[in-house]
Amino acid sequence: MSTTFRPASDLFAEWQKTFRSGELPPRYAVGEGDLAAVDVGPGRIMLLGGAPGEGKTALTMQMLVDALRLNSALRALVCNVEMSSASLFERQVARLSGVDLTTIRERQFDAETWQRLNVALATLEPLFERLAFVLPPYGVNEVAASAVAFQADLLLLDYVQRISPPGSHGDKRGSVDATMSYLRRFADQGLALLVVGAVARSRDSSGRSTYDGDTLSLASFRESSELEFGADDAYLLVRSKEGEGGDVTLRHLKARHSEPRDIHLRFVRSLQRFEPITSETQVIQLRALWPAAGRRGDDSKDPA
Amino acid sequence: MNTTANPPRLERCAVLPALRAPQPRRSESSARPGAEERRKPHPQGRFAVLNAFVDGTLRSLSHSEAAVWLVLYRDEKNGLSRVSQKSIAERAGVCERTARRLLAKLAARGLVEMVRRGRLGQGASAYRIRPTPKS
Repeated sequence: MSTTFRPASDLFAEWQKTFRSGELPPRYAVGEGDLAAVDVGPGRIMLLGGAPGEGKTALTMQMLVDALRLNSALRALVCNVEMSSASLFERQVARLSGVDLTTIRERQFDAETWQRLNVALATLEPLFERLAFVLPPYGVNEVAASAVAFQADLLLLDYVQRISPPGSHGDKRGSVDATMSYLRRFADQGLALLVVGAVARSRDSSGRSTYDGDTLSLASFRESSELEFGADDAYLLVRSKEGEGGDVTLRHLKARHSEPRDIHLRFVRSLQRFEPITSETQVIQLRALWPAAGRRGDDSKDPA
Repeated sequence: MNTTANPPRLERCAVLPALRAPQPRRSESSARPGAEERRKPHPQGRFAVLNAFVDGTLRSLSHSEAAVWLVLYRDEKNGLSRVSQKSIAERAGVCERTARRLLAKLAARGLVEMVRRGRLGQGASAYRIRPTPKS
């Protein structure tokens, strides 16, 4: 029989060496301002839930793309069971360019719009050399093999209840339990994980079934409690009752390694963009990108 | 396809500000002949009723009486509010017995008139509401 243990003295010696060096535990920044507080790094699973259509995919893709922008060596893998890479690209172009998603989908561009789109495309293109998308079937084995082959550091799984573990596990609950166990192993191997989870409706004080933010909790994640138990941080994205329309709160319901901290954001749906409310948004003017302020006209459409 | 040599890139998490908001698309139905006549009643009529109620009557009602009137207002269609007492009670936050009592009080003041009593299997009661007491 083989043994699978290491003496604490050996582990402590290794840890103490790193601790005394002052070297910080590795973390991947996923945003600036308020979003910098979201803890993503090797060995960590961040779980995000919310009602359908609240912007879970938009937020996690914003975090992932900004992580690629802020961490120059980071490599990431996306497993999105519902949206194609083309749809996700359109959303990122809208987010960066400030051109609304409807205009992008309809491809109705004038010279000014092209100027913005070219900036967004030029920003994204080099990032996507460090990004890959899992192709169907969307199973744990396929995600693992892709992560190894692409040498991914960060995985985005959207959404976890639709990613199948190998083997048969009885019911849906067993299946999700097994998937989370595998994800925990991925994290233990040094990967960072962003995991989107579907939530179930709850009952309000009148007994009505609802996705209202006041009624959602850690127990709202569908199928299995292993989702919230297995995650290091768990967030729920809910609409704010106070403030203006579009205001949302990233409620920090579980924080295994820190103090929980809610983050207040504004979701600009037309741009698929989350902007912090309490800190400054890094919005820059187009003219600031060029030495000649307000220059236009270089970007006329090709006659063809 | 539009191309530009070496466009600048956005640094760190920077984004460009929102461009102009898209213009709403004109729906096909509004372009068809006769669409004007088929449009719903101008909302000013409904707002006029609500404004008169808020400005002239609300202060003299209890919160529960106002809640019952507002439920009937919300359900009004073509001049009548067809709604069960159970539904009124649920949305006004009172029990059914209290809802009946409140309806009776509003009726005594001329703010609500039952025009058809509901029966089991024959649909809910129908009410006509007024924003100010019937003089």
